[in-house]
Amino acid sequence: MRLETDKIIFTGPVGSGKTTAIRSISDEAPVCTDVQATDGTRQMKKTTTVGLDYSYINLGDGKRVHLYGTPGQDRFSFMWKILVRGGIGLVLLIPNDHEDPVGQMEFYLDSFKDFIAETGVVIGITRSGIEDNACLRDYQLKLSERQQIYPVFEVDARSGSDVSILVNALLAILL
Amino acid sequence: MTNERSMSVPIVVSSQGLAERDQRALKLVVEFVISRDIPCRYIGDGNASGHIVVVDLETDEGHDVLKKLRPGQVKILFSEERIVGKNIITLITPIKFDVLKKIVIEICRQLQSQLSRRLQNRAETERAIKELSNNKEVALKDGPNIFNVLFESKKEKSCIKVSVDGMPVIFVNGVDGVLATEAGIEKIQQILSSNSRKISVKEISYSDVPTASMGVVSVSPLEHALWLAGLSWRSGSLLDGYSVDDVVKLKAWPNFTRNNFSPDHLKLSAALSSQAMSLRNLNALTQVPLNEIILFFNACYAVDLVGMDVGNENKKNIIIEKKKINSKRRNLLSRLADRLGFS
Repeated sequence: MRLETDKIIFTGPVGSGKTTAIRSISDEAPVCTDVQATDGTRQMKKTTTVGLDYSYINLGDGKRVHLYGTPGQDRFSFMWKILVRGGIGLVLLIPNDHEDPVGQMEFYLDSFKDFIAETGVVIGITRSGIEDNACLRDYQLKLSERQQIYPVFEVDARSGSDVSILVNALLAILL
Repeated sequence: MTNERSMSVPIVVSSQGLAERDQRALKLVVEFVISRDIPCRYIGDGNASGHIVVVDLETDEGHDVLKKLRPGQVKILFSEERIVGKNIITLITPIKFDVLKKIVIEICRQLQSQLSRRLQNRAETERAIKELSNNKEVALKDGPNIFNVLFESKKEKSCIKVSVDGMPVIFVNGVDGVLATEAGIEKIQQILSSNSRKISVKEISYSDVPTASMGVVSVSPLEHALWLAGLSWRSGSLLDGYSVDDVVKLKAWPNFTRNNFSPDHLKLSAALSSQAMSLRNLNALTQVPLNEIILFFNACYAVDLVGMDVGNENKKNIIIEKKKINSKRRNLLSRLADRLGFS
């Protein structure tokens, strides 16, 4: 598959809702490379993305914005640098029921720091209200400590409206 | 002018853990503040009760006092490392006198406006409460409206019962930061969006505020109410004495997925998070009308998302340029925003 450049990258740990979020705003059901989870991931969900997710949003006149979801497991992190090349920006999803969600946010911000510096990032906190291991203020305080004022919103990955607002915040940063 | 003078409150500066030399310097700084017609006094070291508390974190006394200070106090910390937090300014040692002087003068200027306005608002609210002892409604010409009342309740951590223009009563619990009412969602929105000055306010005790367990009331975060009321309060003025030329910064983005907003708010947040600037400059950069920027600022300020960029008043005159992006990509992104319904 040729990696397009007019693309938005969705990233985040396993179970953060990347595949679901892409599905909620794309014009076609995403092409997913899901298989049965076999490792620790199995405790969190039945399937997991082992390659990447792909879909798009049509803009008319044959123009599209492509949506790529990175695999969530650390062992596929080598793909991240390849995937982001030439991309528009990053959507980082963090599941709030992760045992260290704020730490995860920092990990991904550090992992993609070069791409973020060139483009921009928005952060969606998913799975709030299930088992909250942090509140929105915790993420905001951590970002303030890092002197980074990025959008951080509570998001239901199934909601096209929420994911659209997240993407629009990214566009507001870029424009 | 007479009203302003009678409303002026001396700003109290105290310190903890400062060396003799630094205490003398601070005393001199306070004299500079007074020379600018800002009532101010330094009450000495070993005292943590001032509006502004200067603390040397490198001493045991300074280090121990930090946790005991109140959130509302402005803390100027002498430290080798940067400390981040609400109302905290860190000066990396060794301290330069000119830097300390500039910062203290600026903070005193801002505090003077805030304290004067707070006194004025409190006087009006107390007058309204007094007149209500007979359960009369009061129409106040320039007095509080719903946004003002909610904001004061949050700041003062007070509990009040409010009725706007005969609409259903809302109970505000400034201690826990919640709002309780029997009114439905649409009515709540109507109340919070009201610019009516016909407002009745009664102070109540904490135990008199209804809770969700009572079953007949809905309870929601006070911050959501403040946000909505702030976006609706069309008075044209900024909270707490801010002016459109003060350099401000966004501390965090509003949580737009859970609060009302417009596409302009995304634009304003993006601009103000990339760089501290005055609201006048923000208007020039984004072309969002100034009156809309004022509403946005007030809403953000009420929920602690925006504040002064102390020590950077020189930024007022900087011409801010929009970031460069190639036209092809700009066109693509604009079309995507249209497609997602937010242009």
